[in-house]
Amino acid sequence: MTLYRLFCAVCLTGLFVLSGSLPSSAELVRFEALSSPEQNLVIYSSTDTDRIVYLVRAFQNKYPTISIEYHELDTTDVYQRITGETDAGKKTADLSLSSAMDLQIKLVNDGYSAPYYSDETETLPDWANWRNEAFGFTYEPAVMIYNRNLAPSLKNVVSRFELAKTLNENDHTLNNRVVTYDPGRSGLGYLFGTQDAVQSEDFWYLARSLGDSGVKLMTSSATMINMVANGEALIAYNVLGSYALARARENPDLAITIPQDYGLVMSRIAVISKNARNPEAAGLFVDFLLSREGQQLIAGPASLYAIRSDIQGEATARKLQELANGPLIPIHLGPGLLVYLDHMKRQVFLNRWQRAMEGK
Amino acid sequence: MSVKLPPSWSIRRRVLAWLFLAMTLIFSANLLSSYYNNIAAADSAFDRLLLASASAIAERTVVREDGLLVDIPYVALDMLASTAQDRVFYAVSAPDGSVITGYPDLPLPTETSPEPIFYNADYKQTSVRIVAIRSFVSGSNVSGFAMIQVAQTRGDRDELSYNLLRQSAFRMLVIAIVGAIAAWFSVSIGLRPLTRLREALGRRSPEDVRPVLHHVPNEFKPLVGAVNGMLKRLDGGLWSMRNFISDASHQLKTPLASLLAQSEMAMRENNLDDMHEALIKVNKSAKRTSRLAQQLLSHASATQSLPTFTTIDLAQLAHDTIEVLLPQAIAKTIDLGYEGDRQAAMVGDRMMIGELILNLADNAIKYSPAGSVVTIAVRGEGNAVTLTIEDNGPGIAAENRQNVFERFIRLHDAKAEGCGLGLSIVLEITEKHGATITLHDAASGGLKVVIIFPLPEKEASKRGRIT
Repeated sequence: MTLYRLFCAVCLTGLFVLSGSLPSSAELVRFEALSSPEQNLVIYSSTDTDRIVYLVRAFQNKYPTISIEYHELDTTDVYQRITGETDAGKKTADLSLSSAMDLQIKLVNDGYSAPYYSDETETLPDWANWRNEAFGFTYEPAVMIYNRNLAPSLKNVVSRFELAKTLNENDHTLNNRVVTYDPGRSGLGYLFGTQDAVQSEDFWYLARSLGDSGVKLMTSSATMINMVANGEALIAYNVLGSYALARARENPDLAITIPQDYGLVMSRIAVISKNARNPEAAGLFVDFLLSREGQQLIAGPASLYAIRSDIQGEATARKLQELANGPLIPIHLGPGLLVYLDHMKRQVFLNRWQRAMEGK
Repeated sequence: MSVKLPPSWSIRRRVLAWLFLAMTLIFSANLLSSYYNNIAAADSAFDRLLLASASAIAERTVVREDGLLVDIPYVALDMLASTAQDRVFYAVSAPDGSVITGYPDLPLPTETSPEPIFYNADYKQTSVRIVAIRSFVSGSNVSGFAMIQVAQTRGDRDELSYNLLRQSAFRMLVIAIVGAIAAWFSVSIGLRPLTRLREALGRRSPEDVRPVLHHVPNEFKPLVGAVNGMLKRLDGGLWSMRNFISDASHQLKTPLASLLAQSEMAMRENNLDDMHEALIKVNKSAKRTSRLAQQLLSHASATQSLPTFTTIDLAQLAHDTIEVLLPQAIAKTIDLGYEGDRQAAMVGDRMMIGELILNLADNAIKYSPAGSVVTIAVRGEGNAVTLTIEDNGPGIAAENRQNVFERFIRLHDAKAEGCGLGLSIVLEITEKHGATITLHDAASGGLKVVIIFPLPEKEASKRGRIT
């Protein structure tokens, strides 16, 4: 454990985001192998390095000869670097870990991935394994988080309908103090928004109510949680549960609500690249992510919600199912996710969102 | 199609081998046809889904002020989520052919049709099934047919057709196994009558030559018929052997008794001349008895033994016989002669035919008075060879002609030396050769024996092979 060395290098890369040109940074962290001869595993990931570090450390303890080059990237960059490098005939990351389920499915659908089978992948539920090429390894709910110190009455907001009602009635309280993802600028926000739209037409009622209340649109869960914590906002809608949980542990002012009508659940997706240099090591890492040991770390220090049902702990699918008062609907891996990646469909959705924001 | 089976293969093995061969052929053909049928069946099942997806997209392809707008419904692609988790591709093209959304490099159909077109193509290094449909769109700036293509990898189809194929292969395997078991037991059951027959024949005593009366399947009737024919011949042989033995013992008893009596009388003579005379009688009796025994044996061999057929020259045999009998004929001043063909080939048993000619000629010489003429003639006529022996002896009255062939019948009793077996031997031999024998009055008043061997070359050679 103490042999663990962390090298951190920050490098900027030219990036392109689907929604437009938003500059974003890429961070490269190299975890040296604990012993030689070493083999290198390259990962492109949208998961924060300070979360994955627990998993990487345990993985290297198990496989001391593997060094890991961890590129923390925006979800769009994960997608574009893998497709770009593969199309150019170059080697690319061995493994990609991304919360953009739709983009990961597109990687698989368009042939940028390699299949992998193991006892661990067999244990996954069907909705979390597509073609043995895309593997969901977390079970993270989209939640509402509110400041119970500043707005204790918000504990009664237990569903989307209640939220819309509260927005419409108490416009004095929540006006300009509600925040959610900007689907136009955030991949995850777009995923949550479109999946909400798939679930129910009522989503547009909520969207109009948010628009009427002067909702603030942000690009990351961390920012939204910060705003709720410092009182800039009283409630945030569709915040990533894993981040909310970690923050709520430290800050007693923060309270989490899983909507009763349904709780949307997303899963981080691991995909092994077709043009991987070291697919064996990538397979080992996938197996580790899905193993009891890996899942226990996901449920524990990494706080990413374990997908395996045989894991005990707070951040687990099991615990979540106990806490939720309504159905939990995981976003299924499959070709349906490709629909909202269609540029015309995206335009149709964002136009409607824009009209809703204008209260129309 | 011919299969060489080792001669020692059992019927069961032969049946199973043929069954295996036939089934292999049938099954290969069946599997091949069901392979193609299954692909067609899988295609038609999944094509409908593909079409539904394309139709759902077509429904949401509309003209807006800024051009064509496609609002792909979520279900359009979600409905293609399948058990084999096939990859999905789509493209929508405007009436001018430009791809407005989707995968712009999706292979186009080779034909155009108002009906949906289903086709196979290779895309992104895998084989895909594509449907292309046309949808009429009209607005201020765009008007015409938009094309919607939806494609799916073949995983599900292949899985379905593979499963169907596996099922039909399994069914055929079951049929093959049941067929093999049925064949196995049907051979046992089919051969059961034969087993019973074998046991019944095994229990028989060596003397039991009654015909087999068991019920057997049609296929074995010729075999049983052949066995019965053989038993009948065996029975005839045994019967005539027994008859012959009783006849022979009866016939030998008398001359042996008289020989005994004569020799005793000779022993009692004191006078040397009388004794000499008695011994001459004894000698005569012994000669006669010896001749009788010889003829009995000859008759026995003619009736009991199977002939060995070869090609023989009847004319040559006649000449040989004449040579043998010539001293005897000269002694009796009989003119023994030959007329007819120089050569007359036929198929027969050399020994038996020789015996036949010898017997007839000997009889002719024996029963004709001194100075007579005996003529042996051989002539090939068409499909037969005719042997004629003619004398100018006393002949045989028409009413007696039937009897002369019986054993031990003598018409010219005491005086002659014959014992009555000669013509019976002749008859046996002619029968064995399928020949006919007839007795006629000779032109000179004596007896004319005519034997016709109906043996054309082909017939003859066939018979020769069978025996």
